[in-house]
Amino acid sequence: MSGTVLCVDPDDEARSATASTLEDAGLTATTCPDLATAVDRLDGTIDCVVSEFELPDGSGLDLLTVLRERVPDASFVLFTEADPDDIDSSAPDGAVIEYVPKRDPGARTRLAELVHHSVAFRTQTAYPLPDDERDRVEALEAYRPILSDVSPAFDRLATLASDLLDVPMAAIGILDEHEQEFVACYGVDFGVFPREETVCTYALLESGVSTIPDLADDPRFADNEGLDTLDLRAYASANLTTPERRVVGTFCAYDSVPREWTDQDREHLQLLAAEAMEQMDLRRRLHEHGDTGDATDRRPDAVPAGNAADRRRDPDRPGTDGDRGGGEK
Amino acid sequence: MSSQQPTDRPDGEGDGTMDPYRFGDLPLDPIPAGRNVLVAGPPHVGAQELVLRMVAGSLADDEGAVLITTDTDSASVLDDCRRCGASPRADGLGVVDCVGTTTDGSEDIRATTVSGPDDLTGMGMRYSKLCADFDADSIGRIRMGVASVSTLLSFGDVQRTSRFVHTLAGRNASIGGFGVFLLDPETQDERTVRTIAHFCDGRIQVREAEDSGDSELRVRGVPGPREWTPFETDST
Repeated sequence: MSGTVLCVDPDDEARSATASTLEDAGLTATTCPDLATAVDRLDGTIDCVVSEFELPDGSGLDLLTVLRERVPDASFVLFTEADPDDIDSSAPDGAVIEYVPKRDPGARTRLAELVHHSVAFRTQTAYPLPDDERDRVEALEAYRPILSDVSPAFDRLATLASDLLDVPMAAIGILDEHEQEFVACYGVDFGVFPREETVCTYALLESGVSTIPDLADDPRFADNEGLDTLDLRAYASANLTTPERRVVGTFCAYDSVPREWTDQDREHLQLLAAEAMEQMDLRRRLHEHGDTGDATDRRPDAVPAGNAADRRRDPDRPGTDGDRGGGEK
Repeated sequence: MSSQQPTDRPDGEGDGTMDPYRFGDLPLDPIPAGRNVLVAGPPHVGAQELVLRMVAGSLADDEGAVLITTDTDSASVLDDCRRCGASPRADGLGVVDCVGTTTDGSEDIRATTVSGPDDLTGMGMRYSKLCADFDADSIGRIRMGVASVSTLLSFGDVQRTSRFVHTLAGRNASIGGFGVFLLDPETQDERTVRTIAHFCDGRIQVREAEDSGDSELRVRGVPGPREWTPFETDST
């Protein structure tokens, strides 16, 4: 296990000693002395930040605020001389951190153990992880090389899903360690989202098909502004499950109004997800045997992928009035 | 129920390095070190008392207990512990009090205060500080209880509370401690209960028996009785 830790401490000697202890624990440590430099370094490569509370140009909690915006899943440990009673902890809304008092004997050893554990098991995420998270992510990596190849086929399946379930929006996405990335969309143009902002992060934990009649009525998503922006109200998804039973993604259907999902909706989604997974699996095998496997997408009768504009232009489509499915980003 | 906890945690399973946590006269089996459980049930049928007894009762000499109380001050929680027969060693109990600065009657315990149940940062830091204080006194085994997560949810959103529970559960796992999170499922959406449960290794459900009115519990995910099993409470 390795992980990249950013150590922020204005004291040269303390900073160096902390980094050295973390390196000895098998972690990769980078260092900086102040808030501004630390903020410049915060990107997706950082797994954990270890910071003093008092910094020359701010505080460790100021740094935490930026970290949560940029790398929401990263761990944060306040490794400090400051006592909790001397820290105004009411300011950063929602901040949850680890705290290790620096003065105690053996403090750096305890810090290294804690950081090692929090990086390995991502213990500061705002959402639950599946039991087999590490194996699941590893399984996903085997499919990553074929995702662009499979995208046209997925576009067709998303179009089919829209027809079969009579929904204005459908999408197929994968969930990696920190983000959800959509391989195909119909009726929307999803990008990449942090896991904590996606409904599929929770669907991943359920077996089979997950349905939510009204996202606005679900306390897990009540404060999720992105769902409002995208005009998403009803949600259903089926897991993309590998032959080894690892869930690598979801096949999703969305409606812009609340709705009850029928047994037939669930069955259709399950079938579509199985088809999508089979497409992925076949292409992965072709890829592993040195064949790009893109021939199937050159056939002349291939159905072009739909989009929101196509759908709005179809006045005969049941349940479509041109105002639905407009949640684009 | 899902586990967020490591498979290579220092719980001593199989190598005998850490003893499991034991629960005296409660009808519960020993639970391996490094585990976290959700106690789900209304406080008035014994769920809160169960948490106090699991955390503050049956403390071994090398164990310390930390109670994070969201709606009771430290003196009152100490009284509650004594009333239900969980009388911890004074030097073995720490309380993170989210209600006030009352110290009458609780001078001997390690009581610390935060501004309110919405100050999750303060709670987390004080819990960590108490762990460090216990460690400095050569008390390395920690039982921790949050009573209750329902209150935290009423002051914050599910994700914020989730991150807090996940962080505490992760710390307990990393130090080979034992964590208990109390949640009243009757006050929460079922999806919220399921989400919080995912951060724990096991769940202990508590209910009042329809015929006798006794408190009953059953256990999932960690060792313990699978069938509804009565246990005595202060009120029975």
